[in-house]
Amino acid sequence: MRNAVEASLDYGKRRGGCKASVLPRRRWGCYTPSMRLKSLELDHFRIYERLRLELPPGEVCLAGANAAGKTSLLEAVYYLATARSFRFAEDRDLVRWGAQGFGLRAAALRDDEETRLALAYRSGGKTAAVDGERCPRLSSILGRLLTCCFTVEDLDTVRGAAGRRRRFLDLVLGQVSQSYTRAMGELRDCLRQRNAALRADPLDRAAVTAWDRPLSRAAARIIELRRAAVDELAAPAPQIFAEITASRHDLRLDYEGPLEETRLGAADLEEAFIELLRRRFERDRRRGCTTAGPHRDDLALRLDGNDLRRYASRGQQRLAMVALRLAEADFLHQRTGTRPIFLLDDVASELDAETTARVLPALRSRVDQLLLTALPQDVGDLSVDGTVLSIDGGRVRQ
Amino acid sequence: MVPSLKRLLAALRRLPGVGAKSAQRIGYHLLRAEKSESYELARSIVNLAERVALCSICGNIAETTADENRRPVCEICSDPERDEERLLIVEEPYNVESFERTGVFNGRYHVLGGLFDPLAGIGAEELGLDKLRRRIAEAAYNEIILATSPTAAGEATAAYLRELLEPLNVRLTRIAVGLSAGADVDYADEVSLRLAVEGRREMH
Repeated sequence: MRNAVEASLDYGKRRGGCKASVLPRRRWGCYTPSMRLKSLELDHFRIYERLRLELPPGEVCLAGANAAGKTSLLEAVYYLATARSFRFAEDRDLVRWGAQGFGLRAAALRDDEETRLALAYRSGGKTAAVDGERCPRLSSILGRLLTCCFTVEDLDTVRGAAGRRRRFLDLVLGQVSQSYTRAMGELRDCLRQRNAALRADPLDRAAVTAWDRPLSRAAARIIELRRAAVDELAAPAPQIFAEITASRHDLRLDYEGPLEETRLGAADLEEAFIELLRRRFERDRRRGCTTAGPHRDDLALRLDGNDLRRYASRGQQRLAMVALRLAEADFLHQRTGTRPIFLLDDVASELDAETTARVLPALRSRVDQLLLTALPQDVGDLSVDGTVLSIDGGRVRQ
Repeated sequence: MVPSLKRLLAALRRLPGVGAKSAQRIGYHLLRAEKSESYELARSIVNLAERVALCSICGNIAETTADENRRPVCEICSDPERDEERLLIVEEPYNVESFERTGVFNGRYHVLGGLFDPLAGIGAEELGLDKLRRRIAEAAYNEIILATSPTAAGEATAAYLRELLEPLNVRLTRIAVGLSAGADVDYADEVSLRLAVEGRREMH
């Protein structure tokens, strides 16, 4: 039997440790804690051989020429938060030329509480540590460093294949829900096994459908969490879009999947999904893979009824994505009670001056720490409310 | 290194949980130890290989007899005192030991020897499910308890067994999932909590 003191101690640890998934959605008074990066260390990451950087409080602008290593710094921060690159790159491509692996470390402050994060990649795989203790699973590091980003690649989130938009949802949800990360792991396992059973010769139908139950359970859970996230992102989106464009448009987000028209609740979704798998069995067998599920779903983005994925100018797509990223910052804040760090890559070349002038205040009102990059000649237009660090050839001058 | 030692270390390293360092430690220990220790170890390994086989009825481990014509039967299957009406299906022989330690079950067992794993080529045939079906069809069980773990592979195997055994018109049950005993509701993960609520039962 544990005594009460002990229990209250680890309760406090848990709450303070920013363990996002166990936290219910919280409402705070006028004051909200914020996430802030205090220091960052890079070893053999992209062009950086070794970097030790202390970040001052407040906004930080990294100024430097092209290929100076600005985006890589933001990428390192994002990697520590999500264990993935925002550039859609393979892990081994992040290793500095000639090295065997890379290491990233950061100290983050959530109010006064400090967390130290470390992530290392070797050809064998990735390992993570929190406060000096090695995590049994890589996923334990997710959600410790809340971040949100807008980068040049984000245009592909709107225009690209559905996988890009699923990845967007995966990375957002991965930061707030361990249950999501776990369900995704189960889904992957079940799909691999079910697909192997589909390709077995001779085919044993019951050996395929045996996976339907665990697969549907994971799928229902994922769809439920994705829907909830999409609804929450969609709610403030039109207003944010108006804020950054100074015009009124209807920006809509919808989760797209074969069962979405039914709008079934999570409990019924599992049964409906089993039924769907049963109906599609012949198709799955011919293709040798499971053709429906969260691994095939999509996120629909519409502006005034037009599908942004196909029919929109790049400008509109980019603006919609900025609005979505701001909504994401709100979402992370709502779900965890902490305001995230925002990474803004080369905004001056992505957006026109007028829009930039509207986006920056919208961002500053939402996050405490904004890390942005810019070419030296653009810095003046950003009216940086903090520190400008110049960066060149993988070195930072403070 | 002398060839005999090299050969031993190579054999040791094939054992689960034994890496190069452990193999070396065991090897050098045996070199220094009394010869009788090595003989006893070698004899018990050979004895295990020769005398222990899988039970021809349930797939549990069984000690064989000198009579080569008799098929191996485990202690539980040869115990006339056990309840003939209930059958509990588990993954591995050590699961039988776990259930036995609880003392809550006094029926018969069936050991699958694994779970569905299509990627590794393990399916109904490799798990001997046809034999299991025949065993149940020929006996008069009142209840079959599916006690595979509530993992994806365990659930898939249970789902397959349900399809397979349903036509036999026998009562099928699945072990409960949810909170573990002594668990604090506040610390439970969402999935376990949800299963615990779904699997709630009347208080008596």
